[in-house]
Amino acid sequence: MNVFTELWNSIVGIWNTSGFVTSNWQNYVMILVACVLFYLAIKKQFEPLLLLPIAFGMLMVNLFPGIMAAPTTTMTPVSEYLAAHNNQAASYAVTVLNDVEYYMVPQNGGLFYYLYQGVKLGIYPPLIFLGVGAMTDFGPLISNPKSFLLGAAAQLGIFITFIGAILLGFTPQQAGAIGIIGGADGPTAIFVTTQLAPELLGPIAVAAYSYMALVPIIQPPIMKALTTKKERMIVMEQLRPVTKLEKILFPIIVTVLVSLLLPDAAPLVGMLMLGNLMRESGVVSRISNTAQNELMNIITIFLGTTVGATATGPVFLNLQTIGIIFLGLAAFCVGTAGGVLFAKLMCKLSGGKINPLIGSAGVSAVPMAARVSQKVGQTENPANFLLMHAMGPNVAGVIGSAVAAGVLISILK
Amino acid sequence: MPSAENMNLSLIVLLTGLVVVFAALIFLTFIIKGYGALVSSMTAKSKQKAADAAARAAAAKAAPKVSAPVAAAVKPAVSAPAVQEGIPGEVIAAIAAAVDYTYGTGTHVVRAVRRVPQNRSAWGSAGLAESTRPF
Repeated sequence: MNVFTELWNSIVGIWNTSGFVTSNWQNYVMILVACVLFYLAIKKQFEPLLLLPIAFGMLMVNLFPGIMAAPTTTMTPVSEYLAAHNNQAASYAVTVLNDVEYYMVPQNGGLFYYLYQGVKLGIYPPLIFLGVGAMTDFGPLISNPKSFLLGAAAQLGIFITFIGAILLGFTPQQAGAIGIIGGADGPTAIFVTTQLAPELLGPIAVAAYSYMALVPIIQPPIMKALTTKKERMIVMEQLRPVTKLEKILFPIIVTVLVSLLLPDAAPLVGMLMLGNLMRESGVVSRISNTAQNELMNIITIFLGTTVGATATGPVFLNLQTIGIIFLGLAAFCVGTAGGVLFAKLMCKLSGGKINPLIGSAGVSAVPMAARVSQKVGQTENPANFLLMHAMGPNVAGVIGSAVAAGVLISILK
Repeated sequence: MPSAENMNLSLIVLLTGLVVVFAALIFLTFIIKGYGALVSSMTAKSKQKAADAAARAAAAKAAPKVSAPVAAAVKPAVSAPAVQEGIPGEVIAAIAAAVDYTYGTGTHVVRAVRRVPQNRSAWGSAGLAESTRPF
């Protein structure tokens, strides 16, 4: 009979620690959100490389919150410990409480907790930038340096959203971190948030990466609303070829100038340019390949899953987070509009030589935003190829958002 | 409600942010334009020098045939390349465009296009190259 009681107690114990009992409705809502993200990643193929690991991290943490648990220390009475370990003493620190000796036994944290340190300490974003740099051809930007202006105009969303966040009652540091979502650059958003408002890292990272994945849905309506059919049909002149020397000098010059001007942006821009120099120099193809493939993939897995794992139900489903999600969307929209409107201005000034659709690519999100410009342009004029023209503002946007990040950090930190 | 101090800060951030981002990127625009022009003029000069040297050499020898790439710079596109049978026109155009893009306009001439005898498929060769690349 005693055996059956013990069996029953064991089963009850297992049930009580299972997710069915410990999870609440918020966890279930987040599991549903994760499923929606799975759908978007797998069926719709919206940035699946990002969205799929994010969604899985979200799923895991809401099923088993312990996977993100920080390491702890438990107090175990020394006598109890010795009885359980055949009287073998341990080397743990001993604390005496009410004349009873306790071992301070450290308990390891969850798997994602350790992987998350790369996000928390700001290590992953510069490493991602290294890979992005190694994958990016700055040729279109070098051949048409005016693209830099579009990369600057599309940062408007960051600063307008900053004001919006202040109006909603966020502190200036939090507002800066929220605004940077408008840079449409996940690594930059994480980097700034870890410096300014680490408490908001989860919602901001999830918002930034989700919106980056949703660029093909968010941008086209804004681009169409702000341009005329005639403007969207403009065919741009072919870009001049760029010499190898120019491509090699570019990362060195940008690193020197940006690091001198804005030291806070140096880790991001520096790593971006290091990756690019490795690519363009042509003498370190092995490490360039590693940076753009293996390293990038490994960091993407760690970053995606752990960013997703910050989205636990109770933390995520509150008014503050919903506010951040909406402000992030606003930042994205304003940034896109800023880029398109500035491109319209450049179109007018250049006598109709610039297609305003490339302005929206100024919000980083490489290369998705440039692909959106190409796609929207081609729906109006199937013979129009805007991709390479849009890559200029697109990569300028990466530099622009890193500069904007440096400005925010230097003013607000 | 946000304090007046925070609203003031908002304006400062908006203005400083836009001014600094635009200033930095405009500065970069000029730098890139400047060194682009510099590099282009340097390349043009070196090309001109090479062309002059080739012309002098040609005059000295007084022979119609000069070494291939330099002669091409002087007298581009002599005749249509000899094309092996079975290679479509699009492939010739693509090869010619690649040569043109890689080496610069008018410096090289495609004289012949022929298939390299290959026992292994392209995929097989790529796989072999990938797995035998030295570390």
